[in-house]
Amino acid sequence: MITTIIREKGEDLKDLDFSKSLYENGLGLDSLDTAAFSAMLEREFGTDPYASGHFPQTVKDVIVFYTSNQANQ
Amino acid sequence: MIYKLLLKAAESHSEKLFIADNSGELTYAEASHQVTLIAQTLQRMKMDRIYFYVKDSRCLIITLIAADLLGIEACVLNRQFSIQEVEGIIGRIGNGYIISDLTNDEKGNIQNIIRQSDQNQVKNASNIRPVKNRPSNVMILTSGTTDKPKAVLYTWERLAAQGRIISEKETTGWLLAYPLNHFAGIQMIIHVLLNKNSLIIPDSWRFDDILNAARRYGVNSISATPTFWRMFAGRITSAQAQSISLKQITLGGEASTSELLEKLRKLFPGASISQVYATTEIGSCFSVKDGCPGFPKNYLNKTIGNVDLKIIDGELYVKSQNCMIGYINQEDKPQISKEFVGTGDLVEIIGDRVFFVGRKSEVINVGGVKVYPLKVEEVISKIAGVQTVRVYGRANPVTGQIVVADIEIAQKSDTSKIINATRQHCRIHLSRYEQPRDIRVVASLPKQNEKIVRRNLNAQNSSS
Repeated sequence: MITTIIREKGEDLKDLDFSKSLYENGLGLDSLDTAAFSAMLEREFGTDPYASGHFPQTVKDVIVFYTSNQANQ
Repeated sequence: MIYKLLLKAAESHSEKLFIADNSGELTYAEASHQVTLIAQTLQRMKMDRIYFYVKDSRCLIITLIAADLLGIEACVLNRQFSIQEVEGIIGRIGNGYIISDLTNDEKGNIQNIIRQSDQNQVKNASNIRPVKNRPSNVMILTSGTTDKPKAVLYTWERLAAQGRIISEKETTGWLLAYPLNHFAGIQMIIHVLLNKNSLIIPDSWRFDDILNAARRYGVNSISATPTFWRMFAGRITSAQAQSISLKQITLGGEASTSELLEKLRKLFPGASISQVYATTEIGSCFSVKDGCPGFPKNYLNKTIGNVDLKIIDGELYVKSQNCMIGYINQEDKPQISKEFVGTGDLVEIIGDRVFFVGRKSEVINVGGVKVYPLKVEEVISKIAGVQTVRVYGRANPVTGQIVVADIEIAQKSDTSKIINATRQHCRIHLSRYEQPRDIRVVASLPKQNEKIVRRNLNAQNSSS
């Protein structure tokens, strides 16, 4: 999803480091990209961390949100 | 008033076809006779108000005219309303007789129902004189596409004053493509009577029924919403288009896109294309015949026909000489006659043209930036395979709202191809804020009165 967003912005996909921050100084998602990311997550998984009151900083945070949600079910 | 128009037409054009539907035809002379028969039945019931809750038909129109003859207030209800909605409307406006095709099992708590078949009890007409000193009123419910329906009051005189007499050499047959509960449907009756034209009521608005009615009666003029035209133009082949020889295409009720106007020009090269701007409350305002979306900038700040136009804070304001008398049971609301009234339509001036960009209530707020759905729809509607599109805002926890689009596509189109084409096209022609972040292909978009329903979509989908 993140590569789709970045590709649609016309930016370089080389050297993407998913351990970095999702936002500035990392993968570079701005507010519009993050809104799009939130909508994609909602569509794919039925929930999204942003609507649940979280604000993930990294890809790992997003993964943890969904794995811990699964564990709680 | 409309009774007088019918009488006048019957005097000069007695044998000309007035209305036709699947149950038969009436010339002007026959219609005048029928009105008198029905008026005798209604007169015995001593009613002040009559509601119509039936399918559109020549009988409905004849009875409307009979109501005018007797000074009875009339209101045509949307036959798609549920019984509960009808009960609610009658509860708000006031009691009256209801002409309906409801069975006893269906009628719920509704009283005073007259079966349509019971109207024709009188066999021999006798003279009935129009009721004097009693202005004949008609109530029209707003469409409810952007808000809950309100009941608007007019006199037939005021509605007729908005009509135009057009001198023509050839016979004009109009297809009724607006429901009669709609302002535009009522205006069609008036236009036909004023100009002594013919009005053809199709069995339904399914494509085949429209085409059959048009061919059978030689329809050469149709006035309808852009949504109707989009579906019609999407289905009709070139050969079929040639078989009905339209000379007049009129669009109203929604903003038209340049892509739709171009499509109609190609299908019907011999037709004049007019766009009418009207609202239920303000009435018919102006028409544009140059085939371009929006209207000329030189319409602003002067009198065009019966109206004056101006723009305040991006919203179109209109002052009309023939607007509604008022809302029913809202006497505390200020009267709008002869004052400038906000239409709720947002406009933008580009060069020497004024374009409609959407309704105030539909503006999408993406991170503080306003996005106008019509502009996004105009872009998406140009994509091959897209039949109809509805753009609206959906709540988003990051930016407040995001732009989303629901698309109806042509049959047998590749869904994923069209979605990809839409994304690509939007990236080129729209700003980042305007990009639809979710694009869904749907079987059909919800419509009411042949207009796309936009009611409260943004209010339902706002996180604030």
